[in-house]
Amino acid sequence: MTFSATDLTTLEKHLAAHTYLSGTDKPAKVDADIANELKEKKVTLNAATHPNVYAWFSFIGLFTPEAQKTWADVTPVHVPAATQAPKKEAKKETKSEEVDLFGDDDEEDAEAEALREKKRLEAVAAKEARDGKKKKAIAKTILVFNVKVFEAEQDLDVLAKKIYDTIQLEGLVWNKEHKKIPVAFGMFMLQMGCIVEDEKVNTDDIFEPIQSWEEEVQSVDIETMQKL
Amino acid sequence: MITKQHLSVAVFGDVDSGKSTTCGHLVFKLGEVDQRKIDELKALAEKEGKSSFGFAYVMDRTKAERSRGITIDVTMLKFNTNKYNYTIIDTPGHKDFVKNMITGTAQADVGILIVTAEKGGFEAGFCQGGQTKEHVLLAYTLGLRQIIVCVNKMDDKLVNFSEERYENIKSEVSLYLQKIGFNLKNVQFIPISGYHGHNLTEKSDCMPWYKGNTVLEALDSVTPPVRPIEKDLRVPIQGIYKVDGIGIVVSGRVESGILQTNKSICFAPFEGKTKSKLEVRSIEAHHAKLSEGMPGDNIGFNVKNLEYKDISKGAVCGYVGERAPRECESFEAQVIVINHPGSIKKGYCPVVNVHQASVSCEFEEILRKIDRKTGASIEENPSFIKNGECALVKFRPKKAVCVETFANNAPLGRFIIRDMKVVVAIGIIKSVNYK
Repeated sequence: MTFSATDLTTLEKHLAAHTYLSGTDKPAKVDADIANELKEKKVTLNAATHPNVYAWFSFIGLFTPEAQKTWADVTPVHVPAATQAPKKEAKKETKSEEVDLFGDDDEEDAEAEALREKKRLEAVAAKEARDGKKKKAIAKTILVFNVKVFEAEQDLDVLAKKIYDTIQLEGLVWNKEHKKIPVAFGMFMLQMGCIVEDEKVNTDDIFEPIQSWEEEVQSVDIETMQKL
Repeated sequence: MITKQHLSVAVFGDVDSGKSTTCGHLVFKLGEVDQRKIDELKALAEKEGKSSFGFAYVMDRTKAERSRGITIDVTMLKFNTNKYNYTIIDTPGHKDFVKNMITGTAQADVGILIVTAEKGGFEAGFCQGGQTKEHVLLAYTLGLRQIIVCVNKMDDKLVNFSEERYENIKSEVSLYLQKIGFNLKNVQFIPISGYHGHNLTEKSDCMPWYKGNTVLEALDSVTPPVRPIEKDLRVPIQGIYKVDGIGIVVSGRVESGILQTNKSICFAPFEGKTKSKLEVRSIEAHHAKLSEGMPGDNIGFNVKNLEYKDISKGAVCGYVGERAPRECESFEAQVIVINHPGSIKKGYCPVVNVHQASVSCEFEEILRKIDRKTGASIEENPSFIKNGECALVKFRPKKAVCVETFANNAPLGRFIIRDMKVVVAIGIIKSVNYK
């Protein structure tokens, strides 16, 4: 696929389905080139008519020219929109369910409610047009947990290494700086940390395999969970 | 030296509310930030040609560092004031966080709810409901009563420190909090800018119409939690260890009462055959010998006459006598279904996580559907319950477990119900039938 800074319609269409022009999850040389071309030609971008181009352009502008130079020169791929669309819809569904769950009980009269709803929708639309790019940010959580073993003699470094080596998941990054926290009477527990992507990793995906080593581990408990 | 009391603060807010920025700014202003680190960053900022060095730069740098994989230490946001030592929990959007809120050891003493004043931002975030509201509701159910509402981004161009916008948002949020059950006397509202620091630690000149507390003053004015020293001793057991030359050591957090040496203790449920007299020989925390264990202390203690197989994780330790912890036959609890694909009927038997225990429990009877806030009955003996509904349910554990009522001992009286790795429902125990 090729792009040009003058054909905003094609750009808009492509960016509606992809984060970057590269079509992958990383920006590429083509992103930098087109963005710079837009900048040089001083093309005015309208957030209302081309929201995705607008968001992408503002985002690419956040990188320094040095950083942009490091981006790979790849041929942009176009994944048909159909493969991505269902994902978005599924998300919306869960959201509306949540609204039902903990939404307000309808005590006010319908008229006021309707007016408020209308106002809200208008405001939301304006907001979405303004900063669509934020939606693309991946939510991550810092997880710190304690692994308790049976005996003081157990080598916690060996256990930690085993955990790093065995548990490798997409969306999980180990901090690889585990600590030994004293419990009492010469006993230590292993404290480890990692960063997980909210959508991809369940805490059980990490803990269940560790707890299944019944000879070595008696329990795993979360110390803290914190937004990154 | 008198040690300052510790307060844990849970910060709730939607992705776009500026929650992390505000948390970061508070810690930046009040935390023990390493001066060397600051100088280092300052030099770096100059080298990159950034003239204005400040909080925003630090925030961006540390965030980039954090996502690359970081040391465990910096994951805890801490700061001190003249009155308290604070730990901030920046609540994540991860779905497993709900589990941690209930069975985790860190319970929030005070909540900060951050909503954005941005035009459209507030409407899209808070009004639309979703996770933030769910977290606040759960926190209330778990006993959180004090909350500070920060109306953020007052510096936004379209908001421009408008008192009218602030008042509008204040009334909307008040309405919601009141509906959950909060007493507005315990709710403080503050207009802030987390990015520029307005009304965080110092009064802002941009909002002369606001006469109330800064966030810092609001935090220092909360009523500290009462440590349940007077109550019966309860220590849910986290781990059991064999230590050479010492014997059996058990570890756990003292939830109520005071654990002392040379007193007769017992465990419930107890799987040992003969109940020989058990006694606490010594207590330690972090390798230091203690004379006693107070509520909130994480301790390990050595028990005389205890066999390794007598107890398992999730047992509860207390003193022998009339008010000893006991195994339960069944219990009645108020349950809120938060995430179940279908309907829950009598006979459903999922896993219940309560304190350190994890036990399958059967829904023996669904007694009545109730109004979450008033507790009034909506329907007697419903045939099923579904998402969003609240009900009084009689549970029968399939394995021995020790629980208490939420009113009597909250940490032993709240639980989550899990099925297929998801938190299906949460509950608090209203009454217990002992064996």
